[in-house]
Amino acid sequence: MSLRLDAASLSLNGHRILQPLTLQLAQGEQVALIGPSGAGKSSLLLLAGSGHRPDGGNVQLLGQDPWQLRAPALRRLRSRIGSVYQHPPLPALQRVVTAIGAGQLGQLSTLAALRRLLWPQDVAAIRDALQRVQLGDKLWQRCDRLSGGQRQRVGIARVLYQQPELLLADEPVSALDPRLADDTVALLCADARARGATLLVSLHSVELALAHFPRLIGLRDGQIAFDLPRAEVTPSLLTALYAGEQPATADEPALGSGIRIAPC
Amino acid sequence: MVAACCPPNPKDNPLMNIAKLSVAGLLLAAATLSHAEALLKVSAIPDEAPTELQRKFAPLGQYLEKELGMKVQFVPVSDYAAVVTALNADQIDMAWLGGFTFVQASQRGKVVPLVQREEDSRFTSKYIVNADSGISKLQQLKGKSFAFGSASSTSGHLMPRYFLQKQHIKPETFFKSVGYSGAHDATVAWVASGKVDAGVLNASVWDKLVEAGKVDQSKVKLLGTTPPYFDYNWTVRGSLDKKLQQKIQQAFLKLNATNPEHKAILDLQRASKFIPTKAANYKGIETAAKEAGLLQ
Amino acid sequence: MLSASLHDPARASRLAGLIATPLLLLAAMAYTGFNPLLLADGDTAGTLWRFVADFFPPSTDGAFLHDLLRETATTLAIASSGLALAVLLGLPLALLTSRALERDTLCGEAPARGWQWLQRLLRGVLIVLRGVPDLVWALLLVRAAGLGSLPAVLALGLAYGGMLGKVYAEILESQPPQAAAALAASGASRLAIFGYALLPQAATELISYSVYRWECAIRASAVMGFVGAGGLGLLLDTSLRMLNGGEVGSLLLLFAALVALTEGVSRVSRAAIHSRAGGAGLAAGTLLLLTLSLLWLWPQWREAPFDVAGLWRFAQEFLRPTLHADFLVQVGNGVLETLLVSALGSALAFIGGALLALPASNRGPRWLRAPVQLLLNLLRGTPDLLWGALAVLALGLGPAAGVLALAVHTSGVLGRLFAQTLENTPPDAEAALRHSGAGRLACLCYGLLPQALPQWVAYTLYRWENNIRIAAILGLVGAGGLGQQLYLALSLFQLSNAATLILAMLLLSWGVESFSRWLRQRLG
Repeated sequence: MSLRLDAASLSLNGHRILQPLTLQLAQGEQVALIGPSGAGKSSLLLLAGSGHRPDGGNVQLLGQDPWQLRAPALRRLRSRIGSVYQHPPLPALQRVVTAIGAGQLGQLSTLAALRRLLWPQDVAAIRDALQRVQLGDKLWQRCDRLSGGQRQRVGIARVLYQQPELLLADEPVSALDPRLADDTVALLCADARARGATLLVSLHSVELALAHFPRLIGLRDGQIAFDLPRAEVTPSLLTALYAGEQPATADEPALGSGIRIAPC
Repeated sequence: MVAACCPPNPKDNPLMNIAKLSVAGLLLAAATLSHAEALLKVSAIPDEAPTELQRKFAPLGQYLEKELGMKVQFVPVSDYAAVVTALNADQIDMAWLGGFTFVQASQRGKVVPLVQREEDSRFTSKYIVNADSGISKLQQLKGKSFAFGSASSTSGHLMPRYFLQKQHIKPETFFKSVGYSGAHDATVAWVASGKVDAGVLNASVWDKLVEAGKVDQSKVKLLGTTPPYFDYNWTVRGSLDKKLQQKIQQAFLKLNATNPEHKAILDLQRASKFIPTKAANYKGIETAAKEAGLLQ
Repeated sequence: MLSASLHDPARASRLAGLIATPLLLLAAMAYTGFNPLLLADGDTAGTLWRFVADFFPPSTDGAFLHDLLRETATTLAIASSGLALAVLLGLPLALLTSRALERDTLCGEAPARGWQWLQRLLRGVLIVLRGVPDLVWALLLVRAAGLGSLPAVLALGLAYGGMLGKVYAEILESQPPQAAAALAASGASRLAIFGYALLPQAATELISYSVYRWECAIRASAVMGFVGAGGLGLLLDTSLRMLNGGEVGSLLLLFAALVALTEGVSRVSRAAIHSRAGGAGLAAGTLLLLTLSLLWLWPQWREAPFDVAGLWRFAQEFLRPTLHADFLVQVGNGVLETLLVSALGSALAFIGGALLALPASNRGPRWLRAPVQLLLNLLRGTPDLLWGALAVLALGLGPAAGVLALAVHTSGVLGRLFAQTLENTPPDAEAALRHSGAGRLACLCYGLLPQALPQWVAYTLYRWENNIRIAAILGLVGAGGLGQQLYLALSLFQLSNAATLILAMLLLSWGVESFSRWLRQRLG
């Protein structure tokens, strides 16, 4: 089993985000996670990426319980798990080559990591990953010069470069136009298939989910509404899943403001 | 809005007028207040720690109060040049000046030297060195760090610099670094602590510190002595009442070492007796200052 | 498909940077004679340790404590009345020069030529006022017009007046202009536009900045005594010269308490502005403080009347700067020394600040946080001149001591600011890297630092502008640079030399300010 949740639940700040969930993904399986905003998709992915510790139940990642491991073993486990974020956290002044190169930090020694910071290493492989998301020309660009869609694709290129065994993606194409979104999801699926990696992707677009994934999980109010093969997902199930959803508004966090006065 | 409401006088620079007016306005009250006549304000160049100066002055002050029939107040000052400024600005009436500060004060205003110690007509300075440095001759100080006292000091700076130059030693290039400790006893502390390798100070202060056992002989060693020169005097501002000037001079001259009370005062001043002095005595200092480049 | 070359286009400049940075630092170290290894030297450490060990127990001598109390009161009074003077000077100048009150920008009226010239002149005055460090103003006034606390008050008033004038004008310019434009269009006067449109918008910010400046004024007035201008500095100067550790210990404790107290008062006051009652309380407190200050200082001023005529004579002598080639070479050396001391000190402080900021903002062992924060407060609460004196003790006279003093003091200042930046940096980039298995140091270097760095660099550049002025005055305690030459020139009444030196200081600080502004714009 690549991913296994046994009655795993999650609360944040006293709020129950995820009810006890049970769920298994076999190695090489490709699964889409759908559901209305606030259903807990991102939290579930964080739970699956060892970003949150469950407050009940059990999580097994690639056959190991991350929360029983010592620090070095946890690092090794995490380096085999890759995450794509809806808003990839790329430092503004970092160059794309460095941001993508950071994907393999889990496999590198600290010294090698610092060396790579001073002087770019493994540039050919990084450019290769970038070319697969059609951004080959942005290799030396600074991240703050990229559009939202380009940032999303750089985030994907980082995981392609990391080559994880468990690939988790949270709304990875929300800022892309429909055609590019379709190509990019296809790319993720193809990459995972080629390497025999397990893929769990949360998607806002049901069409994309149905088009690319053999298995769909519907999440609502922190509970699994359904977990079915593509053929058994009926329109009425989908209507029930999204019933009463308000159109979500995008909220970009504002970053720190400038300084006005020199301190004395 | 201060600036805007003052119409500029076309003949003068408006900026100067503004500055003048605002400064004058602010200080009017302070500036117009006159001295209380029955008070004599005395200060001294801070060639030693301020507490030491006050201790030295206390009995002399009481003596002067009695002799002059007026109150005498000691104004402690932290910096040599400030004493010169204060005397020229009539902020104090009388000051204990060094030869060099006296020359500075007489260049910048009218001042009258009254008396000096007998010892001041043949004063010297002592070169000292850190005992660990193993130095025994002045010439060995090349490339070492060196401390003068205050930059305005006669015995702590001017005359040693002048005599060094006569031996073709230019301090800024000969020594690794040159510092100004600010006071004679501070110079000893600096050399003892190793903050500098060597220094120079007033011979009288050196003797006093040695006698009082305040010099750790295992840390500081005497290196040499300068030729003699004129130094310290008691000077009053030129605008001080002439009769009062004479009374002060007489009071100093009356001090007699055979009188035990007087002896205590003289000992604290490290004087055998006081003698009259005149400005001409300090011509030599002026020449030395010009040659050393300290006076323009 | 478009594809970038495998060769880094920025390779040349990165390589140049990687090589040039250490070379420049080494060159600066060589010129200033700053060798960090000397600090590890047994003798140095021994000398310093003996002196510092003397700090304990702090002196509790009765006479000394009496002086201490009196001078503390004087210091507070100097700072408060000096700042009041600065506001009286700075606010009118800001109103006269702020572009936010210009009728031509607000409603398109053509400005009068004479008016424009006056404004240019006043802006020049502001630059000169704040370009000369407050301590140098004090030194000049003490030389020109005699002793006491009045020169200190005037010095603070002049230097801070120039600073407040500029900042007030900028605060007004940053306000939304609609209300002011509407008033201007209806023909209101400059003062009316300020009073009815801009003051209501900007009042809290103006007051808050002034209170903050008061905090700075306390620190500044605490060292004014180094040049004979009254206050605690007088005692500190004497104790340091005489190497009296116990007294320095007492003074240090007092400084720390004073800084903590003023920071507390300043924080409370700045919070109080936002409520009506708080504002009234603040106003009443200010009036009370000012009255007490003047009452305290008045007898001192009466005893040592200010010599206005002397000031005049002094100014006339002063207006003929020396321009001999020999002397200019000497000044040039001083300028270079001061520049390198400030740059190297700031660069080292950048490293020190970064290292201290990590534990101070919880990026290190948890138990380390409180001690590091305490250390930061100690580093920045101790006046720069005191660090200078200690550094001279450790490294001997000369610019190396200046570098050390600046590095240590500025590490404290930057460490606190850097830690604030870290606390405000979103943690997701770091978290994302940690969740993909990156080590602690790698997370830091790839996720956190790239985000914090621009702000850190901006802070360091700001601080450098400040440090160039400090480097210029560290010479007063024997740490090289222009300050030592200036002190000598003023002690020997070589006023034309002093004038040249002050011109050099002004040029240097103006140059560094412009360079730093240019650099910040390029980086931002």
